[in-house]
Amino acid sequence: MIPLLSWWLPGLLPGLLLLSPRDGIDTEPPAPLAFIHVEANVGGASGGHMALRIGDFVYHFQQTDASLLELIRDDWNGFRGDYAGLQNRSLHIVYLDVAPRDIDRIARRFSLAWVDQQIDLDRVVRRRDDVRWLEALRDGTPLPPLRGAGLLAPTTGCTVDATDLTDATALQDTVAAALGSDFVRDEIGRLDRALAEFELAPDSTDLAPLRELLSLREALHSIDERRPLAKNAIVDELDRAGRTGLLPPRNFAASERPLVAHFIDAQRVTIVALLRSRRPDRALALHVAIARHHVLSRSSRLDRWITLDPFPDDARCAAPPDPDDRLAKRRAAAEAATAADVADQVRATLLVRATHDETSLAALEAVMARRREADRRASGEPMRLHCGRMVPSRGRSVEWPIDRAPCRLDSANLTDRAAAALASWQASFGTIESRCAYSLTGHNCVTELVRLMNSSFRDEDAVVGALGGRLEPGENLAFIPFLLHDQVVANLRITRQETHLSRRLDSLARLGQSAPGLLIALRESMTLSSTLYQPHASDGEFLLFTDDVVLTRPLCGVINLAYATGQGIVGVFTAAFDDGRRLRGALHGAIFSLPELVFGNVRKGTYLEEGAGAEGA
Amino acid sequence: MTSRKPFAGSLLAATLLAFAGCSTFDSDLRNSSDSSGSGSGSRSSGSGGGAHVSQSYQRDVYSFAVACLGRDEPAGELVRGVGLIAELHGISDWESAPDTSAALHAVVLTGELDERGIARLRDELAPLAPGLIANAFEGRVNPVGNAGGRN
Repeated sequence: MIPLLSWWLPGLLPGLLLLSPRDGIDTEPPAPLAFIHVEANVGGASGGHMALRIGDFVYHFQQTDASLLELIRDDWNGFRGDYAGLQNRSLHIVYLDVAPRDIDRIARRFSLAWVDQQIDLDRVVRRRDDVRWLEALRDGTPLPPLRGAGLLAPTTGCTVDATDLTDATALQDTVAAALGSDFVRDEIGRLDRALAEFELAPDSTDLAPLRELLSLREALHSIDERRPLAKNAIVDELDRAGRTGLLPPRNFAASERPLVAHFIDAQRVTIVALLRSRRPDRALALHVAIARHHVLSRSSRLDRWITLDPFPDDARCAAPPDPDDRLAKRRAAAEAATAADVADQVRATLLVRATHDETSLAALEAVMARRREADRRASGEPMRLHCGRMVPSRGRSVEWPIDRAPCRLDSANLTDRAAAALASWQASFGTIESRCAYSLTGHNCVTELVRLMNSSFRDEDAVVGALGGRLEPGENLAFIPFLLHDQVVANLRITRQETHLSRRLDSLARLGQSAPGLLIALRESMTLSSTLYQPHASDGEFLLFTDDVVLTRPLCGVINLAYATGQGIVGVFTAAFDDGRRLRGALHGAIFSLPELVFGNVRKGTYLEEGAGAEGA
Repeated sequence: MTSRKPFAGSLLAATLLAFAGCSTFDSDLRNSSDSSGSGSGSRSSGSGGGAHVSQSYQRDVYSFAVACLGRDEPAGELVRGVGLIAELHGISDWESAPDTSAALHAVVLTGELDERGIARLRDELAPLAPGLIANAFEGRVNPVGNAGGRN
């Protein structure tokens, strides 16, 4: 299941609104520092969770499907919206009394751990790509796609729109004026020679430099041949109007036109700089800048926003809502409306910013594309998902320029190289596996958080000096989230504690203030009559909420168990018709009623989206 | 009001942890973004959606550069790493982004690197735009080579 709202709402708008001035690193210390204990809930969350808030970030470890522990970095608003909101779990926050300098030290340690992890994962991906490329070269099959090359389309055999050609010609002229009329063709010639001479060092399987050469060559051809935008590489507001039956998109406001012109000029400057550059990974940036130049030029001409589609080729897809599920369809429509609001707000925010950098344009691309995906889902189509920021990177397979560049790779033993690349890929993944393997008591979300925190300091004394005490990973059962929470309170120097109530409890508290009364309390205590919660299949079958009662919890547990048992009996008979859904829900409900019999509570109900099972893309 | 500390205590929690494994509802979604190599493990954003996107990018570059130059990484790793960090923050033209040179300038200024580390930094940056190198080592305000990453 996927909390669909979480991939675009939290943090995006504040991120754009509050892009900081150029402060420098040390002008604003990253406060506050706080441990967060997240209460349990059903599913993979039944043991509770632990996280560390550092300034605007929240770091926490999560177990992946491959049983690896991965360090996650969320922004605070997103984390809170996901865990307390969608997952309906209260957060217990303990703020630490730590000097700004030490907070900065901890922030840097966590930042480095996160970056190192991304670099390790990227290394695995590059080695996987090496395998695919060597296998393709060995077998003579089409080469895997080059990232960014699919933003623009080859012109061979195509009719190019005359106005698009004008934009491409304008870019050609800019490049010729800045670098000389022969520059692009000279560079292509240089790259062809480099490709012809390319050879792998003995025992090497690293084809990243080859991919870069080919990609750069494609980008230069895009300028030289005045290639147009690929049709499916853009997001056009007019398409949205056609899809949703809304009014045609509004034209640019007067104040938006200079902004678009500014963005176009900036792309030209960037393209010339990248062509001059010797940066070893500039091909993707060049593809992006050329495509942005063209799409913004078209946008300017047609007087409405048209942007690049920044979703990566392997973005996951969420299935559309079940056509018979009216509730899910209503939710999808509500999401689309919210996505449209966010997009409008981002657009408005752009206008009031004094300066713009690439992240402004990237934010606009992201909200436009995400709005389109939300519209797609609302109209019954699959929706693409992606976590985090995006740089447009649509790929395209290119032909090996063999006629111009008889590559020296031919002489290499590609079969052996492919086998070596496969071994290297497996080894790099194995390294990560061995380092990040999950274990319940010794290597989980709690122990790793403490280990990483301690490693921010040079020795034990420094930890004690900074935090007022020291936590030991897993000591005294501190691999359990709420026990670590207790140890934090008992052992470290803290300033205050606060609880951020789960969504249902928060709504209940508000309701209690605005409409107090026993009847309302009774109504809200039951899943079937509650106005604050709607049952989800993934929450299992249960009747009474028990997260806001303690003394009567065992009794509620008995009732829930009986209810689940009854549902299970019915489920036996309905299994042939509902695919066993009710029976599974009953079993789930019965299991999570058991803790309630001994005053425990795990199940709280969730607000996660239904019917959005992920499909591998 | 809430049930943060159930009476059943540690045994119950440990049993439930065996179910749990610190995963969350959408772990499959999170995982998918990693294997793509194009995203981050973070749902919200690699750079955080919060107040200081620019500052978080600088911090990541700074932390990574200090660590990378202080350990025996192969040549080219610094530039490759900075490129990846930039992409995670939604930046493709990192060479002319003022935040990149600001972060690298901080590396030079803070004195966390010895002379060898500084020399390595100079070597790693050598193929890049002269403006970036000047900004990193001299802290010039003016951006690099073009409109300073202003897009």
